[in-house]
Amino acid sequence: MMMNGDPRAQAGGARERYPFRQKRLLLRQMLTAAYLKPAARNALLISCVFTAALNVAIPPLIGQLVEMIVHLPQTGAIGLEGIARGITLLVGLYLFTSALGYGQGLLGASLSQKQAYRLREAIYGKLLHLPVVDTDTHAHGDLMSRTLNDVETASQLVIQVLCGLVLSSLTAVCSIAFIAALNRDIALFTLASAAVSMLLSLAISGKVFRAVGESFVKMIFAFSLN
Amino acid sequence: MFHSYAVRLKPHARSIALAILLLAADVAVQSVFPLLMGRMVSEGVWLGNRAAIRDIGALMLMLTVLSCGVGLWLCYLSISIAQKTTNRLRKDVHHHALSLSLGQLEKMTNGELLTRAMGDSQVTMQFFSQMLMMLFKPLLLVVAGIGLLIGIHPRFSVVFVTLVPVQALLLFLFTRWMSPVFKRMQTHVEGMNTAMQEALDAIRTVKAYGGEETEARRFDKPSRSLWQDSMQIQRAIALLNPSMLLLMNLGTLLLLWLSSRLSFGGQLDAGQTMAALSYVQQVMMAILLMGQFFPTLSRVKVSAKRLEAFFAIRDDVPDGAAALSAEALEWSFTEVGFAYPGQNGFSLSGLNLTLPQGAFWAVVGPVGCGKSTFASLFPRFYDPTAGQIRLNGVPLADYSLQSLRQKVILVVQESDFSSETIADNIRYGFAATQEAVAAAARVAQLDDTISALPLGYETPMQENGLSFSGGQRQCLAIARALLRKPRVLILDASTTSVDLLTEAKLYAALREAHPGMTLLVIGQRIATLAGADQMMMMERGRVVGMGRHADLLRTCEPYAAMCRSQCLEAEP
Repeated sequence: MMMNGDPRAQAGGARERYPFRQKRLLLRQMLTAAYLKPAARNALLISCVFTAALNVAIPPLIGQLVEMIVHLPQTGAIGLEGIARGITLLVGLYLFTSALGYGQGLLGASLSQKQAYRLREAIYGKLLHLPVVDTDTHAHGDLMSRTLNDVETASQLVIQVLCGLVLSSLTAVCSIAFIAALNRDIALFTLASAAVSMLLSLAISGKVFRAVGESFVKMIFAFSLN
Repeated sequence: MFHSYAVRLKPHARSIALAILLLAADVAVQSVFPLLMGRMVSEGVWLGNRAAIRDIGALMLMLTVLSCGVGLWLCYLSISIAQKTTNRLRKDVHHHALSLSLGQLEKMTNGELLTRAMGDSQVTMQFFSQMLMMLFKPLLLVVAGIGLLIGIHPRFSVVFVTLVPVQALLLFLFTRWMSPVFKRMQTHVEGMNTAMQEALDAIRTVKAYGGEETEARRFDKPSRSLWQDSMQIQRAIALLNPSMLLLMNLGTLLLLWLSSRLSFGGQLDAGQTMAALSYVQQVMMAILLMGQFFPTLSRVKVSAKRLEAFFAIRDDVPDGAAALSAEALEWSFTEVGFAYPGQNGFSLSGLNLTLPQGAFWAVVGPVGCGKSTFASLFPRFYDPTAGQIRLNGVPLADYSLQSLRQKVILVVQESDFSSETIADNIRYGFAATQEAVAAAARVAQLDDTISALPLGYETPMQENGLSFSGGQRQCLAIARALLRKPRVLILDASTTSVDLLTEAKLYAALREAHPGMTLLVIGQRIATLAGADQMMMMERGRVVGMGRHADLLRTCEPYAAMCRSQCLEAEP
């Protein structure tokens, strides 16, 4: 009776074959246009720009309203009329913001879910066509986890990257610019606080992010390059 | 419905109590902020009092640091409780699944089990880790905020009387509408898990028959359904979130309008206006946060129900209380019959026999005659549906399963192996020395092969032992059984891939190394089984002949026919 080969030599060999450049290329494919229609992606980005603009424009309007309220004892009925007009304008702006938010939610959901579906299909199709030695040398639980759980994580990433990150960055930049126009010192303080917060977040989440990223890359390797 | 969670949260009661205390402190600190800010405006900014601004500012800074520390501690506690509880839940699901009988497990797919152990537990962890910060904390902030806002001026209650019921209604409708969709989604995940696991387990068959497209289509069905249902959920969330945000913003505007009326009447100063604005935003933000938690809440309701249903499955092979300590085991079957659930007719019927300790019995018969079902009754993988089995005069069901299965080991045709070393696979959790492992392998006719490997018994195996041939895997499974020194060893077609010469050597070695052990072999090859003390010929679930080989050749025509088909006319 003969052994069918040394499993230690077969297992794990797949990991070291792929250079960093290929990793980056694959990640870029995943995160950008691989499964997203340009028109939908652009609509999402434009909507984010509008929302960011409104996020920056509305607080000063509320500030003005508060100032008008505080000075009402001096301005009287005329001030009250101005406040009513301001509130009407804000109702309109809020309705518009909500409509944009709904549109973003729909587009983001559509993109992420479609991407998750297509990615699942692509990975599973690839898995079925892998040489038998590859399925033999990887634990089945690992392959299943990559196809199902990691794809879910990747699809969530799309919403977060396309909507959350873009919207937050735009809002932050516009807000700091707006504050700078009012008072440079406060703007500098805000900028410094934001930088410290970001550095702290990166330091804390760096390890986790790297682990998730590695897992993500492994998933793509296991199925795309074999 | 949440009973399975409550039981597993109980050991963390102290941590939970501490978390609630911290939560209350955090909410109290956060709720004081708008009041302090209002005072800073009224007493400091408005009157140009720099000392008041400095003092109140310093107090606010201290409270911010305090709130930050409490918040961090709270997050740690929250996640720690969530992880520990989920870990316990996962272990319990796994343990419960392993404790169920084969009959119960065969009613479920592996995908179902996996989804319950991993998917539902994952949802649970998400729920627990978010519960404190996204449900209880906002709830307390809402209560505190409303109270303090009404404290500034009772008329502000109009904001909440108008908007909170609308928000509550939205959340209620969302939960009600989404629960069935979340339930369907978990079923689709189960479907994907099942399709994938089955395809991976049968990857050689898939390749051999070019079944890749068929398998892809099988997977596509639940995957597509999951996509469609996820879209439904996401569409609802896409509508829910901006609606909640809009209501929050309308609340702010309503408060501004009320403030303007009160300020016009001289009933509100600048500081109170600022404080009121902060409170209304605090309350609305808290409600918004709770709104974002509701999809998780809807989902966890579904998972909780599924887990409850799973834990409610009771084993249909109940454990007995008596420990089986006797070394000599005598079995008696009286009118034993067995039918699989939902099956028309019996797989076994009218079995009457007595099996003494130390005997070598062989059970033969055509495919589907009930041989394996018969073998499964010994370690109680199934209980008979008719008649009774007694062991040493005591009903078999009275013995504890653990003690029974320590003495009675059934080796099946295809055993499972992990990717650990050969020695660890033979041990399979049983504490044994390297010598004992080698001795078991020697009897199983595998020691020479393993010793010839560069790493010997420390050679790692591939998953399912795919680095071994079929016959070697069968011998390895027999070695695993022998290591435990069973009193009854049942080999259910577990030498089918072993060559005739090795098989003959194996039976001889078994008799020599374990002379007092009962050996029951289910097989087809008369040439190697003819030396058994007793041959049992089965057909259609019944015993049609019993005796030694030579007797059966004369008295049992089906047996004689079987021998003729194997070119055996005379006693070998």
